[in-house]
Amino acid sequence: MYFDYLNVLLFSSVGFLFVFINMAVGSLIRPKRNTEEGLETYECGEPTTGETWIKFDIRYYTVALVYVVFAVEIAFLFPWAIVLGDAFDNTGAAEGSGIGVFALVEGVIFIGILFLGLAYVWAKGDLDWVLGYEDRAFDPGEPGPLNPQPRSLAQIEAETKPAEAAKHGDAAQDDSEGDAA
Amino acid sequence: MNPYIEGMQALAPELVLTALALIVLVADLLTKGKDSRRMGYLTLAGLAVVGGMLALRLGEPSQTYFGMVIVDSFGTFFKLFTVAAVAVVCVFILSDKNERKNGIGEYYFLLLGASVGIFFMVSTNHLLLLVLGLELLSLASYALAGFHKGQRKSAEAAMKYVVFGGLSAGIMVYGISLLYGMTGTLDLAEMATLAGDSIPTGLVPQLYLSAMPVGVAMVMILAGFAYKMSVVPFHFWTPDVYEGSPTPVTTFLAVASKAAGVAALLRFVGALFPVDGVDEIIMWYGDRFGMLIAVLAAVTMTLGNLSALRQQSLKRMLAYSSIAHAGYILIGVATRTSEGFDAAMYYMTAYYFMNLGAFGVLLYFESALGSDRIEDMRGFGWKSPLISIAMVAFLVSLTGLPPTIGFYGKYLLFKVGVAEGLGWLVIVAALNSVVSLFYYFSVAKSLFLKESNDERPALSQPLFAGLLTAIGVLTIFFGLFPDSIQELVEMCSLLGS
Repeated sequence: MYFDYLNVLLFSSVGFLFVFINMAVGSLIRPKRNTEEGLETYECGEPTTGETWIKFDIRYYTVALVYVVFAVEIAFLFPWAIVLGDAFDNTGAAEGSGIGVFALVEGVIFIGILFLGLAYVWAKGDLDWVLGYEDRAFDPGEPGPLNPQPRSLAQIEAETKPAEAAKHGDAAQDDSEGDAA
Repeated sequence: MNPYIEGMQALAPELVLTALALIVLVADLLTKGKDSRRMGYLTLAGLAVVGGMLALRLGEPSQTYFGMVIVDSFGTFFKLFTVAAVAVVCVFILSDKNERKNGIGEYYFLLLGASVGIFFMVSTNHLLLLVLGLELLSLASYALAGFHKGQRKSAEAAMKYVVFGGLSAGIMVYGISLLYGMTGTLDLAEMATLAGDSIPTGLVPQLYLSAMPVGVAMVMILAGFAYKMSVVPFHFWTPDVYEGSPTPVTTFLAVASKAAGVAALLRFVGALFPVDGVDEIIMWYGDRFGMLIAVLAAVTMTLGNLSALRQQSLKRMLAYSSIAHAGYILIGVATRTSEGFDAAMYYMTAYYFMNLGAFGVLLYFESALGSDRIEDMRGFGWKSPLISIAMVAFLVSLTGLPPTIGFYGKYLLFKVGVAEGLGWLVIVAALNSVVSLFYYFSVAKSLFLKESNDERPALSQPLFAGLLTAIGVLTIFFGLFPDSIQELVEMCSLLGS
């Protein structure tokens, strides 16, 4: 009986070895030139800036959760949709059960509850990605190197435009003040 | 009749409860969270309906639907108390002076969702449904613990609860998967029967083959129950989560959630390791399993009581006291007899009354004083005598002194413990009760025997005060006349007497 589990052991050891053998081969045959640039963290060619410990917008998780709701919905609805025909015909997997309408109603209720989840997220405004500063639910706390403050578009323009205004004259200056107000 | 339709009719209380949860959520969305009090009243009305449906089902014979859900009096007993506890928690939320008045409709939705989880947890012998119910309860509880998301303590409580709950649930599910691999079934009743066919399945052949993996699986599954009941060594979350959560949520966790764990554990032990098991090897290992639970009981009650001694905060003290009470309840589980289970159920009933009351009084103090420190309650007994006298009744009951319901519960547990050869455990429990007398009475002393230096007047909340007084009266009434609850427990007995 325990022999049946041998393929599980085999599978996991092959998976384990696959990673390590590839990394070992890589480290054996690749050239080793430890330049300063080569040792930097790879950020798609951009120079790295700042710490990695930054505050991460929690809305990413909300969207991920909403995604999971619908991923799970699909996973449950596929088998349901496949046997639903059988259930109506009283054949195949559902032979003699007589649950055709029952299964349909249950499926609809299931979708309805999931839809309610979407409606909830929508009504609570978690699907609006662009939030104004005043829409934030919480005090963002003291600004600091670990807590960069989100700024509104008007603020950013107000900060960047004076530099441009110095180049272009007074007309642009008036514009930026208008925006900020 | 179509078995599916029939099953749905049997699950009517669950369906109504689920529908109620969804209705509350939709109603809250439609009113844009502007009238949360009305959501509370709606919840109370719905719970009354569910409670009525459940009460009508008491005493009906046990039946299994969909091969998973057992509808029997044992489950109905715990469901009824869950409904009552959630209703009391709703009144707590409505009376909480510190709670926001609007935008808290989800509070009721989450409570009802957690109750649905409890309903399924207490009415199944199928491990899959057990885990689903447990997870539904846990997920709602995590969100409830962090309900005051702006408060650091509440957020911390939720975080600790999630991490600890995830770990324990993971261990439990792994144990269940081991058990499934060995026996080929997730149904506890099927697991416990002797295999008649050519292919050996179930627990008995596996125990003859090799008992070690079964032992590992049992200990791992026990971890999940221990976490829900806050039994040592899975109690670490309890004080911090109880302290950080909003007090109504703490009440829910301490009362309803713990009772669900007790009910599920009773079903688990009762199905797999009853004293009169199907085979002598089951009985032999059942003794060892019972001994493990007895040792856990002794450690849990001792640790809970000794830690409670040093607490300054009433909330934290009640958290440790709830750990200690989990230990007392385990005495009944460890005997693995029908009488032991009945005693555990009786004690659970007593626990409902005295803890709902004690946490309610705590909430009252928090509203009136803005503090949960025992020091700050000095002399408060003379300001609001009715509630404070009720508190003394709860404390006497928690200690286990007559004439309260807690005394009779403890008496039943001790009696069955001695009868089943767990005399040493009963002595430990009795010594523990003496220790607990010390810290419970420090509260009573603070309330009545010390001078107040606080000028703030008592709150006037007639509904809340009336509810607490009623619970206090019942605590003493059922201590003087324990027969009615005794009859209810015997009617709902799991193993049948």
